[in-house]
Amino acid sequence: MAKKTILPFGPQHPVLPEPIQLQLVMEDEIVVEAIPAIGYVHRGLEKLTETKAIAENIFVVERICGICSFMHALCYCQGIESLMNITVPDRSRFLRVIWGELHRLHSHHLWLGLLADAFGFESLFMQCWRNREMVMDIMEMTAGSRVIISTNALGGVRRDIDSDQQKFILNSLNKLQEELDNIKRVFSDDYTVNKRLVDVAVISKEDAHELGAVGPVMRASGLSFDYRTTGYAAYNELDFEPIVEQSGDCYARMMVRLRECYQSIDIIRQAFAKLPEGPIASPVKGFPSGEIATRVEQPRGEVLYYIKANGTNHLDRLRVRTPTFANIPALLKMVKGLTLADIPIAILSIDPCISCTER
Amino acid sequence: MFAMVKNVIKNLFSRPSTRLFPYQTREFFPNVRGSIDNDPEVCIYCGACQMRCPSEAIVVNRAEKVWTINPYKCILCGVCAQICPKKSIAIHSEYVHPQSSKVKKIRQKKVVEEAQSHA
Repeated sequence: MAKKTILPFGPQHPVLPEPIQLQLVMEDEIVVEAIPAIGYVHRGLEKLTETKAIAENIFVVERICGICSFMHALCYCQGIESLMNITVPDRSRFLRVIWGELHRLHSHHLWLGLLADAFGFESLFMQCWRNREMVMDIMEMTAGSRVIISTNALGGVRRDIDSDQQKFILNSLNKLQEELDNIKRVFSDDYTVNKRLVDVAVISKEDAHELGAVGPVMRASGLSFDYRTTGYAAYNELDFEPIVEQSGDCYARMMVRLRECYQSIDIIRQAFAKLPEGPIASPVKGFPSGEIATRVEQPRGEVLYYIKANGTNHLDRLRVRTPTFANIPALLKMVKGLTLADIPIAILSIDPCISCTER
Repeated sequence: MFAMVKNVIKNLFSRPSTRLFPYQTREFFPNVRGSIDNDPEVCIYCGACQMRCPSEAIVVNRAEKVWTINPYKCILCGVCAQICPKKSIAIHSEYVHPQSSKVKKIRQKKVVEEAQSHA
């Protein structure tokens, strides 16, 4: 038996965009165990939310994650709204779906590009990020900002999407779908891509369930669960099915996200077709009291917010459980038995967002 | 192989995908949140923007009628412009250019000036 060596992988690594350290216990080239270390980018945002006013916290929670900022604000607003029994106007529920799906689109394009970069396919990386620019343009036009769009408010949304903007969005999405067809061919059929992804970092259906994996990691292992199907915002009025793959390897996780891009485009089209007229925000008076746990499906999986309010303008406690944190146990299971060269792709395949995880 | 030749020929005769930046700049969409400014003559210095600013970037001196914003603290959320009773705060689409020192933007009644204060 070979001698065991501990190899610190990270927190700085050229492929990984964010700081996570895995101490890899190696036997020659094979990983037998991985010990995670996080805590390099802790910012204390949960504590900050206790000092800010309730409406100001929307801007704080948006900054938990740069990539899925809209969903964080959505989850927070839905929690406060249900504590205060506010009914959100129909139009703003649909607008929330549209911006949420735009965020999912740009997040998945970003991840697909990073994955291509991780296995050394630079031109594919650039193609993905060029396509992502179309989504960023839509975001800039409708919300006035590219990433942290700040359109959520208690009781509704802050901006409306008019008919000219709708036409622009639908045209851009048609173009995006054509471009997506091109890159899908490469991702699904290319020999090199398949060599790096198929049967790498497999996690079985039972393990994914037992270790509490969420989002695309869970769905790639054959578990059909998507929190959007419970029908928050306007998802109950839209027609879609969770996207599921069976093999549980990196290829399956990549295919889930690629197919979710098509699904998001479809959901946005449906939402525009059904977009009702009317106000975009309800008036909000008073302060919430009580406690609540709310969930929203983010690009990386399910996020959980626990909110405890005391009837004043400040919260007692805000606790956030982000999807990457839930996926780390599954990651530690899937890296066992891999060679060192596959570790970056395995880590990237859960779409790690460490700033989210540490808040 | 043939697909690659097709791509090569296409790339030889097509225009570059990127913008030739200094000569060709990108147009902003209208309503982009780029920078915040206040009209000192319209402003009534009520201090509502200071109260509601989530990043505490705005300071209003009601007695001397001075409105100051720290653009390096400001997160461009647009709340101040939304709640301003006189609509004197406007959001411009041009972004703040890089500067060599941290200059606060000061708007004072009657006297309009860009004062230098190193934060």
